[in-house]
Amino acid sequence: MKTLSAASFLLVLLMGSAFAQNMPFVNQTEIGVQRGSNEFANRTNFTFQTFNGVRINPYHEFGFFIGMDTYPGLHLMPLGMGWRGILEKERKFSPYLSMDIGYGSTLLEKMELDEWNRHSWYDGGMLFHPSIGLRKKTKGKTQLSLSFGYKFQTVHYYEGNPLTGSLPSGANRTDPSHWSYLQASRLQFHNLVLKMGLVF
Amino acid sequence: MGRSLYLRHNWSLNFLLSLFMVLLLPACQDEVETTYTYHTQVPVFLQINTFREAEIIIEPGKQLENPGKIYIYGDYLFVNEPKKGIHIINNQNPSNPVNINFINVPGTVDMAINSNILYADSYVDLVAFDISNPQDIKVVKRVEDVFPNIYTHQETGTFVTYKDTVITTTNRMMPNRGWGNGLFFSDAAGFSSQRSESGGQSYGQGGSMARFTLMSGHLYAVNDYELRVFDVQSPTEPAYLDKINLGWGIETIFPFQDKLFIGSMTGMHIYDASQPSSPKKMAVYEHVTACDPVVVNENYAFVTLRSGMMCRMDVDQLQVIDIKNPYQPKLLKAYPMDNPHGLGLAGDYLYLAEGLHGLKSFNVSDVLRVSENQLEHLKEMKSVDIIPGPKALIVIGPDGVCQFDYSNPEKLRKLSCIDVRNPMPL
Repeated sequence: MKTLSAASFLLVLLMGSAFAQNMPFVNQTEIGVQRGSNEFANRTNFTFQTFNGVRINPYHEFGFFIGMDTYPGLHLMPLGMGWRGILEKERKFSPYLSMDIGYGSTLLEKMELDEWNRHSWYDGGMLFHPSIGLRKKTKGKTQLSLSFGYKFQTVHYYEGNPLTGSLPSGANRTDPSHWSYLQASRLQFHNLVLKMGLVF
Repeated sequence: MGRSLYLRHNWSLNFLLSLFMVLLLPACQDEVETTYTYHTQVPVFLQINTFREAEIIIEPGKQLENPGKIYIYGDYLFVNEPKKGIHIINNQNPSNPVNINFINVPGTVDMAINSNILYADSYVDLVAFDISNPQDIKVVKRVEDVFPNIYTHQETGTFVTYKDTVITTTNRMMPNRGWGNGLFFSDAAGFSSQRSESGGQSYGQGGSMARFTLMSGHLYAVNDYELRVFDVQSPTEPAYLDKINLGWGIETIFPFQDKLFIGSMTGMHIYDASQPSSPKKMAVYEHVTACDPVVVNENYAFVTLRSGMMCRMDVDQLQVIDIKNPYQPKLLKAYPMDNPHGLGLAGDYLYLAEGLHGLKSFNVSDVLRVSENQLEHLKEMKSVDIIPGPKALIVIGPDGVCQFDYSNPEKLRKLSCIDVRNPMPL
């Protein structure tokens, strides 16, 4: 999955420069909070995202996004493709819809080992993030944005003791045959997301 | 007019937002699904009579599945298939070993051969086979109830054995990281992956990880905590003599010049067997808790300690122990290794199985400079035990049994490999 994340990151850069040749370049950079809960407690996390794409006509923008989400004890780097649909172009406040689909990468997380040789690590998973928002014109070219949305994010958490002292190199680490025991958890985060940003 | 349009748009926006929230808010509870997969052993209760009454069947040669120990006798290799039986391989030409037949011995873990008589355990019994003609193997003797420690009820002949099992469960609880998860620490390695051992006289030769050995007309067998002695001076009439308590975690036995070197998880026991029927303790060399096969020459014992699930401490070492005075063994030097398993000593050359890290060879004529005298490191040759046989160096690995020409000890030359059906996990 790491290669996939790296590949999509490269794609963001390549496509960004290629498309910009004949269609206007759009950037939307947002920060915000995302909120969710489980059976024990609520959580409020920070989110950051930058969307780079092209405006193919006054109502549609397509591009790639990359960002950073903090979940409790876990940093994810979301990567993927996004669409922005602008409903009302001419007004001071223009409502828009957006949809981001991609992969939450755990590039920033490392496998941990404790003194009992217990290995634990995260693997990333799919993300799906529709939202609705408003863009407000300012005096310059820049617009301000405010959006409200839902973000679905899957993450996998693993914990196990290898059958031998260490995991064989090159072995598929999620294959239970290498582990004396392996606990594989699939977590699904449901977030409500409130973000503010700049568009130019 | 403009204002009313603006308002209308605001209304539709509000409506959309509300709809969005109504649809999504109830779904906003995080979910988790956890799958636990663990290797464990489930007890299986069996009656010994069912095995005693059934005739031991000699089957045509079949592919090695999950080989355990190897024993060399004459031109033949005897390869144990733990709990199932023994493969007999004609090794007249080490470049082309031929699998000839399979002795079906339920519950066998180890073996030894004395003057054409093969001894193998079968659950609680010791069975002797006449192998003078490998094409026509006969049972000559069964000594009953000599390994009684697996009996749950000896009167009815009920005993317990454990079957390796992988269990998977799933639940939807939020996992708590850390201490709460360690409920199923269990280990499958204990029973199924012990390996091979050596002898003198007209005995055969095993590896450094054996639990059976022959010396001076006696068969010595170790289990987890005992040494059992059998008189085999009349090879077809093995007689159980005595047992000696050794403490816990006993793993391997290696004979050398009237002495028995017994490797345990906590150290190395040295027994004087100049009176073969009643070995006497000479010394116990204690080290940290780890797995440790032993090989020995006149002056030194070479012990490997390795880390792993069953082996507790995170130590991977080759230790050289001075045994010139066997009553006072002392550590001379320890060399760091990758993950040493079995080892084999041929004159001044030591061959060491490094598990997944391959096979190493050393010149050990200067025991204080072993690591500087490393000769080869065959990284691809995954190995768990090594027997320096008369014709070839036999290397047992997870993927099969390979033989090397070691007439030039500094440069091993691969002769052949026997593949296995189920490579064991390392």
